Amino acid sequence: MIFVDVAKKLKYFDLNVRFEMNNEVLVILGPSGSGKTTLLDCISGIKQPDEGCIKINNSIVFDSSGKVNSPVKDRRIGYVFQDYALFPHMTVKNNILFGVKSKGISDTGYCESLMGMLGIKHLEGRYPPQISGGEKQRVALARAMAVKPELLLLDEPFSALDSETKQKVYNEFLGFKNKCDIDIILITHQAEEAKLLGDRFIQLKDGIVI
Amino acid sequence: MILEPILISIKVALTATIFTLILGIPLARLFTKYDFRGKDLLEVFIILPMIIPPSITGYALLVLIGRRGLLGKVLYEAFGVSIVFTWIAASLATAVVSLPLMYQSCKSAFLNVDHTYENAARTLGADERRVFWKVTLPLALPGIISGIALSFSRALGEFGATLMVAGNIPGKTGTIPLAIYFAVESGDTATANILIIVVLSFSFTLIYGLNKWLKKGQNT
Repeated sequence: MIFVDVAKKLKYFDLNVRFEMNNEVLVILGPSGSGKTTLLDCISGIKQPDEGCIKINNSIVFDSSGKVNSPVKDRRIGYVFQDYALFPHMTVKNNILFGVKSKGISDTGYCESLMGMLGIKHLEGRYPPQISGGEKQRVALARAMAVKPELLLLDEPFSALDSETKQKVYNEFLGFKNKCDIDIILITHQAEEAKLLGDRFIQLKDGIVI
Repeated sequence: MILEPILISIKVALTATIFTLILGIPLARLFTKYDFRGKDLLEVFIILPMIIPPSITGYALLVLIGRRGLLGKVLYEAFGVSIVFTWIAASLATAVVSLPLMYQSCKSAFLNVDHTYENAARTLGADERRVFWKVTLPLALPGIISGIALSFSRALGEFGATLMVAGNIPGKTGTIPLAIYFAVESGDTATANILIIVVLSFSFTLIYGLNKWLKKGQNT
């Protein structure tokens, strides 16, 4: 179970969001500049909310009243950034193994199976600038999932793809969702995408749920 | 005879570049990542040797490491050691003059690293040390290598500050720029010409090669 209740003062408005989710894909829909990415940054720990509480399953990762603020590395969150943020100086395989090595896990079998599941095994020796947008998106997903997170954050992961690739990736995502037992928060500004991929969606405008 | 200043110059420039690298990377990292009191003032002191006459830098170093200087006196009285008029003094003077180039290159290299990569590494469980060594530093590497090349070239050409603290002792502190100056002064233009060709060829090849390498990196 994921519980998020955050408040943060931003330049043009205040972000005030509260929701709960339980083993589902929650889509956060909203126009550019409505506070969607800031919300994900607060959940992941990249940014600190001014007030509120964030619970990921049984652990409180942020609580302003109890002065709890777990560092990003300890939150067990997978984050697929909007432009994927694949390390350009590492091969696809090393990108995917980065989190596993950070956590000192020697068994890389799960990463291998993830690469197989997402159809990127043949790309393991290539560097991110050498692969296509759709492939980058799958590599970023594999990298985020390799650390077995309890919550997966996807920040407009399909926005950079052309419409043909998008349709293919949507189907892959739906297949992936059925195979993985994990809470997913997906950000998008496209209503059709939200309806197609989410179990539930909330709409954000100027920092508040409408 | 001609080989001697070349070897001394390489020894002095290499030592100075290693020193500026060891100091320049942590300083640039510190100044780009953290804010603290006196930061702006300290940064001026690092950059100052790049814009003031090298003779002033040399004089300041003499006040510091000369036998009766603030640090030199302590060294001499405690250990009987005097570093002025040695290749170490030449390396020190060269390092102080080259440090601003290394610092500025490393600083812009760190500033150009997209923070999203560092944040991505953190979400993947990396601690700050791993983020720096595995993500920030490799991404900043082209800028740091530019800094090494520029500092080394600057170190090879250093004249004023070196003359003040190390003099021109042939076979000991006589670097290429000093050897050129004293060769011209004594009318030995043949030696001066050879040394000038050596320095120009080396610096040209280094900067040309570096630019080619950086351009290749941008295109891949």
